[in-house]
Amino acid sequence: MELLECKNIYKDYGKKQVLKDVNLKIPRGKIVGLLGKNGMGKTTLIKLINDLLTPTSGEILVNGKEVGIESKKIISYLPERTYLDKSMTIKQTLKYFTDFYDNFDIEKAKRLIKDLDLEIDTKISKMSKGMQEKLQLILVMSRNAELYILDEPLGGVDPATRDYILDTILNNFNEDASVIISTHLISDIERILDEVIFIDKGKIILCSDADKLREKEKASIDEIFRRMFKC
Amino acid sequence: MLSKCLKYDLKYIYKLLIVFYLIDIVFAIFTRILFSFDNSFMLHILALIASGITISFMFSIVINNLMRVWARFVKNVYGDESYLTHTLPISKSTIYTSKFLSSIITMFTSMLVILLCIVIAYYSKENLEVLKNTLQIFATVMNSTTIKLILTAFFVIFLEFTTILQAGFTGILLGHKSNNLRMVKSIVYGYLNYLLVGVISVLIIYIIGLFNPNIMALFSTNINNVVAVDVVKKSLVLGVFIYITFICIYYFIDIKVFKKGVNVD
Repeated sequence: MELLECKNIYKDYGKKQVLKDVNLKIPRGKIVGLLGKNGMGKTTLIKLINDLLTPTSGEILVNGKEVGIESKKIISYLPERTYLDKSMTIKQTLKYFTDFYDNFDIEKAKRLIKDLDLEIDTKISKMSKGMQEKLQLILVMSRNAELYILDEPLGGVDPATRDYILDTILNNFNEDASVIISTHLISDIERILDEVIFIDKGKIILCSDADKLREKEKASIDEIFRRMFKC
Repeated sequence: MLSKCLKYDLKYIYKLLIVFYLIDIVFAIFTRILFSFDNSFMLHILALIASGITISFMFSIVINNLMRVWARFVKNVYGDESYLTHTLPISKSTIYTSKFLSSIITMFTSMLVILLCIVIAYYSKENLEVLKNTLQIFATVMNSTTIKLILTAFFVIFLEFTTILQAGFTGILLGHKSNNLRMVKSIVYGYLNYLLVGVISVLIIYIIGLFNPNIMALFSTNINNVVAVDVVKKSLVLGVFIYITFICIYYFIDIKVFKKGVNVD
């Protein structure tokens, strides 16, 4: 059974069709890059998997079951925006995650927060946006999930922070789990990808093993992407 | 999971409301103290100002309660925080029920605080006597007791606010099904829902009136003519029943709409 399977997914916003017949299978234990230009449907697809949007038609299965309580127990999702209640402190946020997620490792989270030199009693509203994003990443990666979905984790951050983010992802994800990373900054994550999915104008145009693709095209994923999506 | 959701919802709403509660109680105490000095004109003026502030804070409590509950709902279900809310391993009906219960609980405590402030600021033997005498007239006419009358009034006002809250929730849910002008549509739908409850309530009473001339008297006589007490009582009970039914209907509609899924921004 595949960890994630999307069958004939369509998503419309009024007359605008954002996703067209998306079919996808994500196996276990892989780091998958969901790659595409801005506005091509990456975030929409991710939102559908996370029950933040309802598909116009089609079916999404996680561990063979429809998206719901069971899928949410095993998916750890990092959205593009900061979703934490800003009136809470870090400590209260940790308690919140412990309350709702059985697989949340609070000790790991505390350790990672300490590495960032953050005080546990700091109010989230007092933290910079960058710090809030790092805290969010820590919370997401501190869950022993089966599928991590990270939407544009490298968007709008400096190179040093990019390294921090990639290291946090690589050092903390569950070995048997899969990771889906959506991004358009391919050169930064290319080295860690096992598989790549190219999405363009709401359609999956390529699904391949990263090494095989490099071998076949005699080029890096970044170069292949640039070639395919040349304006 | 419902208790956990409820805990966080209540914490959020009370965080601000408690400030309003405290301010109102403090001003109610000021009002009481200042009114006790009956030999100073200036202190009497100050007492009137404190009394005005106490009363305006009573309104603020209700308005803030309503707005904060709705704002929490929009923020949690459709705003940035919805990215966390909808990815928690809990059912949609649990999320909604928590919002619904937290709104009812906070509205109930708000009304209790308002009642408490009234007692603190204005309780005196003379005032109590005036109130008792006034209510006694109504109680006698209604063949009831003053305590029952006060409790009924409290319950009816509470029910009215609960209906407003519920109509607002339904409005937000329906408004956010659309892809554009979501807030405007939410407000319009909210008003329409509330209006609908009123119109249907009157319509039901009218239909019953077609078979009961006493109840029809509510529509066919003017305010100067005396309507039978029994009719007023029956209409009140009917009204309460209709409102509770509507609250339940809206609750189940909302759960159904919510379960169909959301489309967050």
